[in-house]
Amino acid sequence: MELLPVIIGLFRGGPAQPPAARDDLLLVEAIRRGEPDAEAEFAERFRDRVLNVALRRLKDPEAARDVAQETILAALLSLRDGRLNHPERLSAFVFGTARNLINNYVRSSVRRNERALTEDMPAQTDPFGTDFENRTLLRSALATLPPHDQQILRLTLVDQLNPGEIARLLGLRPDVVRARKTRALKRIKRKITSIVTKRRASATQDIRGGA
Amino acid sequence: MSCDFAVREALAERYVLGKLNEAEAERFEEHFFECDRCFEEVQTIRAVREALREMPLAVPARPASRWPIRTLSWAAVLLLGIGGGVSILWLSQESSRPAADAGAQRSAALRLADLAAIQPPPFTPARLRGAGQRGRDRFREAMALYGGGHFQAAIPGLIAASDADPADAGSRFFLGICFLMVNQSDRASEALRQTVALGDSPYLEEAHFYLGKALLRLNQIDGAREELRRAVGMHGDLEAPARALLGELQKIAPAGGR
Repeated sequence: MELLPVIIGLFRGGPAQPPAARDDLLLVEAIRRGEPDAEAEFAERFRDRVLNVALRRLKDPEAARDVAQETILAALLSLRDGRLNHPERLSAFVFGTARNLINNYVRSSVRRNERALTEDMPAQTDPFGTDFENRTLLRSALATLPPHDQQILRLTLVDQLNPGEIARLLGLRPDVVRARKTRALKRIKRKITSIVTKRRASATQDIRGGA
Repeated sequence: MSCDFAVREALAERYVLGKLNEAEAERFEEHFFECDRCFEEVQTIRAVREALREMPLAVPARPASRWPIRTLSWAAVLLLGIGGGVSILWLSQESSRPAADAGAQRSAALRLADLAAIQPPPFTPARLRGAGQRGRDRFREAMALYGGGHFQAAIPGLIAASDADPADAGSRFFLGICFLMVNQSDRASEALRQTVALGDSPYLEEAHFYLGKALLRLNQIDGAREELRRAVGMHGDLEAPARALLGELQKIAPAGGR
């Protein structure tokens, strides 16, 4: 079972199992017919992908969010109007749209930067609502790892050390560091899936009990 | 680009850490636009990274029931209906953190590893005592290797010497040091514990001190703190360094904190 669709489905109070993703052709066709579910599926599939690209290029979360939203809307409008000639190349089309809009943003960023120098930055707000539970979920999964494995993940992902450097620090062989890192990430995914499954079962029971 | 290639080259991790060049990053982005598996890997690594940045250093051997997850009401969580998932966590975290420290801040784990670094203590032959002739010979041979910096090569001789005379603290102590020097912290802590267990010896203070170091390497912080306190309590040459280590340790992983 894919991890992220499960989590996203859970937090959105979605179905017990994530719906199977539609084939690109079917998805494009459904959007052209104006099916709201298809548009939601499209947005869910590409939103965070575009955010990744935008954030890497722009280094500014607020701008990245704006550009991502703009990209999804622009792509959806094109799809509604049937302007995608090769629906099988949907991913490449969205990626290209994102790249163009990011480039536009970068080109016009001089004025923005000038303004930013003279204005206080607005307070950041979480556009997604609270993420406390998401954090708790991850922390609980991380807490189940052996301390050494947590340490390897920290040294890799926070301190950005390579396996050889970590091996020297922790008294392990580099191949052991690599193996433990891979194993740790797999364990986290499994743990999250397990927690999510338990949550879902518990919620289902509560709903049945209350009915 | 294939998934196998992406996995083999750890592209998801390198992408999140900003270690791909522009062309590599763009190729990988094109790939994860189509590939759910690789995109999931990117999001998982991002989320784990942000969670680790927020979490205090792990102190081992805490019972599972101590974690707050046990106190949550899952049904209530579900009914909140909050949007997004782990995949969006990183973004809000990125936005609330000053750009200056992104990726550059040394974690507590790295500072801890620094504290655990050691220089091998010098060996003074006059300290040799108590071993039988055979054990003494093996010990001398091993310590000649030790003096030359050949710690791995010294280990078999030190094991033989400590087997020949189980009451000899010197061979066990330097065995522990050799294990530390070749990054076998588990075995180092075992040998140093045995040295401590032998009781009063010329190596007792050092054994506590270096056992503390070995436990730091093993991320056994409470145990390390205890051994360093014992080294301080002996008021010998290592009192000041042990105190300094305890002070640094307190900054990284405060006693009594999580």
